[in-house]
Amino acid sequence: MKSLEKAQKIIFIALAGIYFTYAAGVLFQEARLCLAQFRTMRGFSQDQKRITLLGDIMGFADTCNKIIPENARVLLLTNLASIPGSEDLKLNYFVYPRKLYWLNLERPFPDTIPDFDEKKYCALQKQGINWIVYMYSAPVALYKIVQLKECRVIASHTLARENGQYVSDM
Amino acid sequence: MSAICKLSYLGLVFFCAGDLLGALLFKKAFRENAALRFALAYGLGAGTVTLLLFYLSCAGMPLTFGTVALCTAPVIPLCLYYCFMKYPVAFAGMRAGEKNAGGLYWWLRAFCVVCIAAAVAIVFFRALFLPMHLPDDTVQWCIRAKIIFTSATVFADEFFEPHRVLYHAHYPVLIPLLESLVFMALGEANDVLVKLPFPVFFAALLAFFYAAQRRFAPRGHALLFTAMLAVVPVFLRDVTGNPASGYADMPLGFFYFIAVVSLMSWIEHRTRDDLLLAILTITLAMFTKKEGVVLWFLLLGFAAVAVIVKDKRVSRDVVRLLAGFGLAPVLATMPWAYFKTLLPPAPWWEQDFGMANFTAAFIAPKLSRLPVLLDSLWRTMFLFTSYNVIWVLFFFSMLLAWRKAISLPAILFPALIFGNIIALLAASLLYPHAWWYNFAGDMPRLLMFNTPLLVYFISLQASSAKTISI
Repeated sequence: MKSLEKAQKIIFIALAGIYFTYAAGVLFQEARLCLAQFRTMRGFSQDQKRITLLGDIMGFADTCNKIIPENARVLLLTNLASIPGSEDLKLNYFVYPRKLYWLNLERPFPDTIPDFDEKKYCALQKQGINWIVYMYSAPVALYKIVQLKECRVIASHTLARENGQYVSDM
Repeated sequence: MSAICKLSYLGLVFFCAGDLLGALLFKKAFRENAALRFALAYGLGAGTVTLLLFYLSCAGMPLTFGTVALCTAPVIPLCLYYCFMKYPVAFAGMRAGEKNAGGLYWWLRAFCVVCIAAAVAIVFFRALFLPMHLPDDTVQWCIRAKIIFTSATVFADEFFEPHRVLYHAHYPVLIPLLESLVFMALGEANDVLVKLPFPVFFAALLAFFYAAQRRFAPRGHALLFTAMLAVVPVFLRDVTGNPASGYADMPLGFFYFIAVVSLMSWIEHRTRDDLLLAILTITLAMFTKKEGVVLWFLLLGFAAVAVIVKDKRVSRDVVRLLAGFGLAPVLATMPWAYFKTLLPPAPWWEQDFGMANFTAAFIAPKLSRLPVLLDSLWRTMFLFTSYNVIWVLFFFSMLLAWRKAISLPAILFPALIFGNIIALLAASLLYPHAWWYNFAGDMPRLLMFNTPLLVYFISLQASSAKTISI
């Protein structure tokens, strides 16, 4: 019985040893990673850090923030299903206090982009929505910002991705 | 007043409010060492100030820094007078005996201190150097904080507009309110400094964990297992839910751990203070995350059974437990429950655990998920990258001192851990939509709040103590 207890204690100490050996490795690895992050990003603004960490979505959010005024109400047309981790929800966060409204929550738009006529633009403007953001990922890949006034489109900014950068064509 | 002064004021208010509340409720209890006092002061302070903010908003007061300053201004002088004059911070007075340390023990302690300090430094660095960049900290928690900050109320129109998508809008509001407090102090929605409360929760958890062990173990033992908790890979890596991110998992783990340990202590010693602390912290856990309600329910059930078994009858203490631990948290969170009824219905992908789902026809087709979920669970528990060999140590420690493991109230630790795993598997299995596989991918985070319980149980088993008491 005593030899069993002794064996158990030895196994326990061995397991604790394995635990701390691996943990020391993780600590060292994470400390190195932190140092590398610090060296790479120490001169970055917070926006630059976000672009480094989050990629393309930050470029689009940044463009939206430049073009759309802060108090705007915006209709978001997207083929993304608003699920955890989805980019439309990230856009919602990064463009705040611009308010995004989704048209169809139960079933997001399929890959065909809906047509809007004057009547629909008027209906949107009556609800205080003067901007539309198109955010369509593959296979359509359309990123567009549209401004409405007097029931028609008065400005449109289509964003094309060239050389890994978003550029406005208007 | 500059933003940094306001932020410092806010930090001071958290500590003073928590310490004052502790002094008023518990008198001299839970203040025998600085680590315990720091942990409880911060946790209770941050939690109760946030809860107060919610009640103020329900009463129609605007949520601005001015309101917060007005309501909390008396706290600091009162705390200074009442707490520090009457109950000064003690740095000694531990219960467990000390071994005369030297040689190897000294090096072991130094190694543990270095591990803890390095882990805390990594967590603080990540929190304060990187902006929020993980999925849920932004789109689930901080977006609601931005809305509360901008509209100065929890009753902002945006929460009620059906065409605004707010991911998990029905989730409790402690984290968004805590973050909005930071925004109020800074005067802007800064998503780097807003993470400041989260690594402090991590430090407070380690401090409480150490102090809780000091009641039954010497310093070296307590340090060793605190170091073990500090360096769990899921805490150190930049993964979802880590203490440097703005996720609710660390605050939930903190409140839940205190609730469990103090309730265990109450089952053993039946002191009013233990029960009161458990009630307070489980209320804050319920106000932190939806899982808090499941944890409360499990804890209540297991504790009631434990008391009946221990007393061999339905004693008055069972009534006390049900009335205090069972009813008080429900009453305290009732305004939140009412608030939720005003919100638009949760989107289709959030509707899990509906009563209509508990039918054979609903469950049978989902049984095919089980192999995937169990595979993910197995990998999370036993592969090094998430939890190192914590789970192996946990199972082995049950063998190591099996008599202690099956005695009351120690057995409640494994019971709660297995209960949580079963609840997690049930939630993943019953989730009505195709996104259930998110549960499998997110398993390391979903098991995170069990980690302090796991390590505490291992520590308890490895110690020579016969009773649990904090």
